[in-house]
Amino acid sequence: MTLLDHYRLSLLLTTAISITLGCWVLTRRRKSKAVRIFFIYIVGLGYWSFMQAMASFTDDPRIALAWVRAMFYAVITFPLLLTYFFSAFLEIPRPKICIFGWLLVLGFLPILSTDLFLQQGDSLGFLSTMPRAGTLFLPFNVVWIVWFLYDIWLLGARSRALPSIKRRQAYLLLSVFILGYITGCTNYLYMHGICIIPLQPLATYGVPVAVLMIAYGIFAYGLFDMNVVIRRSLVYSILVTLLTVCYFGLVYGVERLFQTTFGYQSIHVSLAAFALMALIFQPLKIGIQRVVDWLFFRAPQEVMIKRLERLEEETRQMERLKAVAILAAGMAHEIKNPLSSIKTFASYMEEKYDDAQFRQKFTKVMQQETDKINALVRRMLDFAKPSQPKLQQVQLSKLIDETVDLLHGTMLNKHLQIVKAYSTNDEVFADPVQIKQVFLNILINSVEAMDQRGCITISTVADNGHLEILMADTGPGIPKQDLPRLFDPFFTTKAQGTGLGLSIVHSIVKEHGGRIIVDSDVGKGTTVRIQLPAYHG
Amino acid sequence: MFRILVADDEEGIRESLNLILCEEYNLAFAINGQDTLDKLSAEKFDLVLLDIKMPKMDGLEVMKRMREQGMTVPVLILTAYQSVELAKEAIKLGAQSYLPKPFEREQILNEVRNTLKRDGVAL
Repeated sequence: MTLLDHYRLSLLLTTAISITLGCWVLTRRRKSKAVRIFFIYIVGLGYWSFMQAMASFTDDPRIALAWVRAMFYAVITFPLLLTYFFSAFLEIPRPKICIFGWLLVLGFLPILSTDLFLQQGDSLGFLSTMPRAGTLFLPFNVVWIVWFLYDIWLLGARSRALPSIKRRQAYLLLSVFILGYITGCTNYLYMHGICIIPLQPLATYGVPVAVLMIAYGIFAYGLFDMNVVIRRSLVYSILVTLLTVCYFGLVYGVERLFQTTFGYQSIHVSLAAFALMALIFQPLKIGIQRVVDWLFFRAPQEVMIKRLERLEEETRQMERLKAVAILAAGMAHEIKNPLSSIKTFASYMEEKYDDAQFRQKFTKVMQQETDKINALVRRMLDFAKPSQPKLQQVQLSKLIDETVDLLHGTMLNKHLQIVKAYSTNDEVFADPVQIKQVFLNILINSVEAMDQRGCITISTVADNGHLEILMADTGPGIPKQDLPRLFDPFFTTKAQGTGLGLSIVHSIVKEHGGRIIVDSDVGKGTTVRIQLPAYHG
Repeated sequence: MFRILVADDEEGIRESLNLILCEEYNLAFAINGQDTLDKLSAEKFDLVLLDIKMPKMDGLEVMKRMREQGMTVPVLILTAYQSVELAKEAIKLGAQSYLPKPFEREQILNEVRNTLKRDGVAL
């Protein structure tokens, strides 16, 4: 390939990878501000490289000038967009200096299409035509580079204080943008009449490499908070893009080879090259995907399933411990009652030791009250400790009562009333600890949602081989638009919520062969209906 | 001898208060909110020691009903909840004082004596 071909290839490669990566990231994380700014930036980069490549295809200096001038309407905003991107990445307010940045952009805009900025040029090095710098082009370069250095300072100075993963992401972004800008800036040299062969066309390859490094950052450091499944699709997308670019490159190469060997172009050769590439494209893609899977996502399916199961159990355990923390206040109250009795009787021990009746009562109270404390602690531990699911015949009303007891203190603090109505036969085959977690998560939601003096009604109804548990509260209710997402992991309306409680509830109920339905409307309270298969001896 | 109604659903607490107060006062016991109201309607008491957390009807609800029914007997609240909100609410409803659990025997005796004195029941 000639140097000109290298130049065009590096630019077109940048266009293809930038647009692919930008669109890919945007479709997956549209809600992230950093991603939205990154998208604008990277599409702008794609536009830059495309326009620069287009300018190199023409021999007409006027057309080349038009392409390059059009290109600078995007280029002029790059350092400012980078300030926006870094601020969003760092989650800091946009620096006030951005207003000055916009003033600079507005100041340069009117001169972009004038000879003061760029003028018609002639051949330079391997390029048949290249516009030349006007009087104001150098000052523009200086301002542009100084602003970029400010961006690097903005991110660099704050990187050290970031948490470790975010810090690594920041270092990667710094390397990416330093590499991208240094190599990209070599294009300015042409306009100043400088062409250092072969450094310049080859340096332009630094830009697609920088873009690929961002893709690597997403893959390896979870940049933009992408998860592993999304990351895998990124690797495939990039590979397909690279393959497509290589595909067209090879077709072009075959045509060129034929032309230089035989001195003329043949449509048959072009068609044959297309057909050949189309035939090998799909198997090659599958083969590369396999290699990628083997290299990066090697864990066999069973290992992945086990990992997922462990993760789910850890999540459940985390939610259980969170519930335990909420219950702790109520439990402290429950323990204070038996403690009061023990303390009072102990304080009379010395003076009433000879009283046989006192001694008898003392023994009874001590036993009774320590049993109570013991039962309380056991109940809490049963709930908090991780355990293997153990299905057994259980009475739902008993599980509900035990759960309500755990929450008694919290409910009393809010003066909440509880009304219970149980069906006579309410036995199910279930894991008692998991089912209690279901009840507890639902009740905690109700208690937290209600203001003082609300009411929770719990009832069980036996119906056609199923047992239905209804938990209705008089809280503010849930907006209709939130109902379909209630069980989605990480969906929460609470400031401190993890959004995992109801998702866990849903998976436990499903594992027990049951189903869960939530009826609610704003101002009308919420009713959660859980159906579980009844136990038939 | 002054007559005091001890209202608490916990047997251990009733036994403890009995131990502390039985030598100086004549005691009766209620095991829940409704039982407390029934006993207060049935006979005259000089003081009520009332637990907040009780099944069926909590102590605050009992106090509200007492006010509605025009009962003016002084009330000392017993509770394991050290919540300012709860204390404020109890005082607003007419409670004389607020005793946190676990309590000291002297603390109970002093509060009972002071309340009876303050309300002009004691000599």
